[in-house]
Amino acid sequence: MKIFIDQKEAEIKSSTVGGILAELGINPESVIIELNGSLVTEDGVVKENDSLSLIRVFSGG
Amino acid sequence: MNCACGMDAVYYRKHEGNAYCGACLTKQVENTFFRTVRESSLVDKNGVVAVGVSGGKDSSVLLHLLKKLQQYMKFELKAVSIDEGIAGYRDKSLEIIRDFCVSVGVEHHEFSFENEFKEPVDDFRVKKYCTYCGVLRRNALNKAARRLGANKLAVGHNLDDEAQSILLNVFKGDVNRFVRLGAKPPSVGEKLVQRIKPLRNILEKEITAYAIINKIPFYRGECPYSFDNMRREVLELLNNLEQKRPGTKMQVVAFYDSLQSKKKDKNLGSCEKCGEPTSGSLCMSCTLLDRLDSN
Repeated sequence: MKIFIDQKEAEIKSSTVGGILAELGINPESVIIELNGSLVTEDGVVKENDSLSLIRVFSGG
Repeated sequence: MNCACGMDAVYYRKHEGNAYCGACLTKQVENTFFRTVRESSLVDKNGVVAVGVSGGKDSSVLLHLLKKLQQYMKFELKAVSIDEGIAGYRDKSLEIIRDFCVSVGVEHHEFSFENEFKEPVDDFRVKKYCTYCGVLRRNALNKAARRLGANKLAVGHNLDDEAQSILLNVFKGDVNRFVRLGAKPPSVGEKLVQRIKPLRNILEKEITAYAIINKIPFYRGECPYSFDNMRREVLELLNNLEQKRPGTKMQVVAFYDSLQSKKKDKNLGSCEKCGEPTSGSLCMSCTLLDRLDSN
């Protein structure tokens, strides 16, 4: 399924936010996720052409 | 997943098994902030609080919450920024915080490494940037708060930062620093403005969500020098543990708090070179600046 992650096109297999994070090897503790501009939990369902923003929790400053 | 109020959830607290909508998470975060301020007596009535602001999410949320606190308590609030001199990072975050301070009506004061220490971080010829930057920033913030007549210096340390600091000091065997953590570290020495950490009981992830939900502007970039340091390793260790065992970070901080009654405060003296507070004869800032000069 084609979606957009941080405005870049990506091909993913999972259909939930948590599944996509696992697919990308990202620890859910390290990010907050926006799906089409709204905050979602890990069970959020992702559909074709949806847009995900991964907001890193750590800023190091 | 729904919040207990029936609205769509935007955040799930794994350690307690509850989901929250934006409004209920906002209440949770604010209640924790107010409770921390009250229980640890962080802000004095008619006092002056200098709040360190960088334009990042933690300090911007802290400024927002301290402004809210002013609705219930009379005290003066002044925002302080330190420009460490990191091109492409701090200059961008400062633009955001300048605008935010104007929008919330808080006076904003800026200080720079270049003025205070004659050199911006970008010109440091060292390997461990974070060590130098962290120490010098604390030094600059303390001086700035003192110059502004503040009796409290509020910093945006969150629960994740606190858990990391606890473990870092354990790993380094640094008992002196270990005993000086907490929401209100021991106030010692005339020149050291009392530091307070009102966000110390709130998870970093919840602060980030709070900022987004409440449309608090913050800079989303990462410091270009923050990738190779021990704190980062401890952060990843804690995140991995938290993922497998939710509640780990809170347990680390709770463990520390249970030791509070056993700790002994060490009085600070003055640095023989610059006169700033230090536990030794020469403060860490002067030690590091001497090293920079000799590089």
